[in-house]
Amino acid sequence: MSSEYVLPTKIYLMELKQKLTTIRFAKKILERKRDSLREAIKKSLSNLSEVIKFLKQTIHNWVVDALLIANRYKDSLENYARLQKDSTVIDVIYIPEGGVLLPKLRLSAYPDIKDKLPEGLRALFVKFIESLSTILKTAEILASLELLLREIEVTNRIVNTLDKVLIPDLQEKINYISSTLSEFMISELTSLRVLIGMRERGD
Amino acid sequence: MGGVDIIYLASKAHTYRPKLLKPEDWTLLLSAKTLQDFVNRLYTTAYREYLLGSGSLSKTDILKIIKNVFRKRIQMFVSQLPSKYQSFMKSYISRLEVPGIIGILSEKIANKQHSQPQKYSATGLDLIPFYALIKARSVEMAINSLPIPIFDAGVRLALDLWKRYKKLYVVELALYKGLFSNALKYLEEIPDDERDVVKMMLGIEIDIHNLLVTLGPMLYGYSPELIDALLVPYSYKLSTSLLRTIYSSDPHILTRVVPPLYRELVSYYINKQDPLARARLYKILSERAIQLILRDTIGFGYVFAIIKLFEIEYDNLRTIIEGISQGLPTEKISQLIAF
Repeated sequence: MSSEYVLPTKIYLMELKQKLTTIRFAKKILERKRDSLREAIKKSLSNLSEVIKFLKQTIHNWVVDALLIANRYKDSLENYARLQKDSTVIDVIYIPEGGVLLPKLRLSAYPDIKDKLPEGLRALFVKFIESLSTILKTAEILASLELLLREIEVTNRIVNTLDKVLIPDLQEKINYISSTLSEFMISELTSLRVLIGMRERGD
Repeated sequence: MGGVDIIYLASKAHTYRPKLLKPEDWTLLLSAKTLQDFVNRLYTTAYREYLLGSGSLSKTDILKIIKNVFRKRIQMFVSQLPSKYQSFMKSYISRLEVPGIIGILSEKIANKQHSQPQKYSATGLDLIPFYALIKARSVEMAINSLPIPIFDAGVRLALDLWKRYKKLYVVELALYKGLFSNALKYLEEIPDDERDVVKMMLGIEIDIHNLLVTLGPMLYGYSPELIDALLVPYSYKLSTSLLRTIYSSDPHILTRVVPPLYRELVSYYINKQDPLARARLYKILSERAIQLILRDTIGFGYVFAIIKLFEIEYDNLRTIIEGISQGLPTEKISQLIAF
């Protein structure tokens, strides 16, 4: 039993019993959260494997295309690259999933190529923007996985603390108070019987 | 420089034909794994005389050597052409100088330091006053310093479009339009039979220029009014009036309306595989040049075809060297070259 002083009263016993019920309820909720986090991780992993399969091909193709364009349109690439000043903007939106806020990446702005890029470079740019949504999807899944894994670790620790420390401790205290109160009751009953006996004998 | 008789030049071109790389040379060069391996294989070709005593070569050295060979060949033929052919050839060959011009303009816009004038020239023919372009204080002044006999209305068009759009792409296409239109104008001065032979190749290049102008609005959302401004008013196998009407349709319609000769090339462009489309164009031009060689053995057509083959050969060699240094697999490099 913990070294904490335990007052063996009926009121304190009731308080402890209420606390134990609450903690058991919290534990049940946390276990549910852990299960839903596990589901979210499973979902993310299955998405990731699909995206990686697709991405492997997409990125490979894009790199080969970029090399072919760098080879064939080397002069154009140098001439037009130095004029590019616009940048790509990616928005991060947080959406709740499995009890955690997960990031969703959205391509909100990219350089306008209208009337700007010649043959070769415009094709490369359009292909890059098309591939970017897949690349963002992968980044999004990886970030979500990291957050989910971190959250599941924290939840697991709390559930373990409740399960292995707090609940047994409370249970022990309740048992102690219950047994102490029973002892008191027996002792009182014994005293009462003695008193009743004395009264009957006319002492 | 005064020109010599075209038959004399055609005879000279005949002596250069064996110097052109043959299919077996290309196969040998394509299987090179390193630049040194490539140089060793190049020793077995007509380039041997230019490589002798050069020792170990870097990528820049090899590129410099093949550029010098190309320049020498072009200069030798263009400078000796009779004046009526020379005017045409100067406009036509100046296409190769456009990337250099655009390079200077882009450096001006980006406020970057310019290099030496000779660095910008592809042919070394002094057709473009690169020094004046570098010295010009603004893009407008630089465009204004371009030679009218070479670009003709292209200068005015490039200037107008620059003022309106402030985009280099439109300037580049305006210059190409000017060069092609001017080349067509000069072509009227040469005999009918030779003109028809030259148009067999020039016509294809103009068609593809027009196609590229149309693909801007069709595939990339470019301004449709650029079509009217930048189309060269000449149709060889691809009607300009057709291109003017279909730019807002589904791009795949192009593969059905273009002649079979361009079908594969167009499908590459639609699938955004521009390098393969460009390689296909060079293959078409290379095949056409060989047809011209057989058709016009003693006229300007022969000289023109040989010059075109020099250009394609130079481009192929450059592509292989860049491909090897990029670490591209042989099959990818071979997709980019024409032989």
